[in-house]
Amino acid sequence: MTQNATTRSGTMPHTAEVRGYLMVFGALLVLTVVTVSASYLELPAGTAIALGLTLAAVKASLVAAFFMHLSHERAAIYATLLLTVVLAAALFSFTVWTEADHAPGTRFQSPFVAGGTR
Amino acid sequence: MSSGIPYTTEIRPDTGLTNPKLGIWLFLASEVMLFGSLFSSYALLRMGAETWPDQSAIVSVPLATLNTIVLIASSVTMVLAWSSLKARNLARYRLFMALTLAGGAVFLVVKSIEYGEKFSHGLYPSTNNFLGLYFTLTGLHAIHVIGGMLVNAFLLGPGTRMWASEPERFTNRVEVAGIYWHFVDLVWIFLFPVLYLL
Repeated sequence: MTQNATTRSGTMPHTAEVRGYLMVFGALLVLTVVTVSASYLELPAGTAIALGLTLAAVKASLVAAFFMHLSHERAAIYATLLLTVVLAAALFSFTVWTEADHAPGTRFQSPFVAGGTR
Repeated sequence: MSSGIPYTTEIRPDTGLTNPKLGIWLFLASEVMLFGSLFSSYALLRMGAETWPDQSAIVSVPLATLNTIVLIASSVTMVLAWSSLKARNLARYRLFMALTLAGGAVFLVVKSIEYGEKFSHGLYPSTNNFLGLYFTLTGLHAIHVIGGMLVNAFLLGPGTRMWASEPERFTNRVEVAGIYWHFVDLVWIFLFPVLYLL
């Protein structure tokens, strides 16, 4: 914790802490290998996207929990992040619903393809 | 306290945090919305496209995998740099911070090689929607890497002077810079599968 920044000078807790960070590093490397390997399995698109994003979410959670110290933070930060998640989900949902709810024949087309825009 | 900024080392009673810690998280919250808008744009354009190029045939998965490992490793060295300061070992802090900077530099070199390959094959942001998104997202991310490297270079160079007079405040500075650096790593963890593998 920040408030303990200079109060801990013993070597034992420090050694255990370093070992923990290295274990997280190992887990992140393994998950990276799994992510890349899974992309070569020719899975159906939906399954591949779900698997790829799930593995990314697990890796991101490890980084956030251990490297960014979110596993032992104060309530003010959790409240800030909860609001961020809600707003980001709303941003993402409304944007995607715009496309998912289109009427037949009005699908968005690439502006970079000749004749793609009306 | 040598500056007018309050609560750089003491806990502010109403938030339970130091001001820099709360500040960096509020900044990262805005960063989530910035990258969130671009990720949602990617989803919108891909879902709505009549056809979508085979991404892995355009981009280099091996180079991106290498960059993923480099950035994750630099996150580890960054947290070990902070951990070294907590153990009052300035020499080891300098070593790990230098390695973190080196990791950022390697990432940018690999990224520039990737960009060079695209340009040499006539692939530009204007070529198609995927490449437009690819260059926008990876370019914005690279700018964040450069920004983090500038802060880290300051903390490795002239900024280290604070260690002699205010070690706890300096340690907190490194922690806050580290939280930002880990966020840059975290964004790449999502960019990698989205732009290279899916």
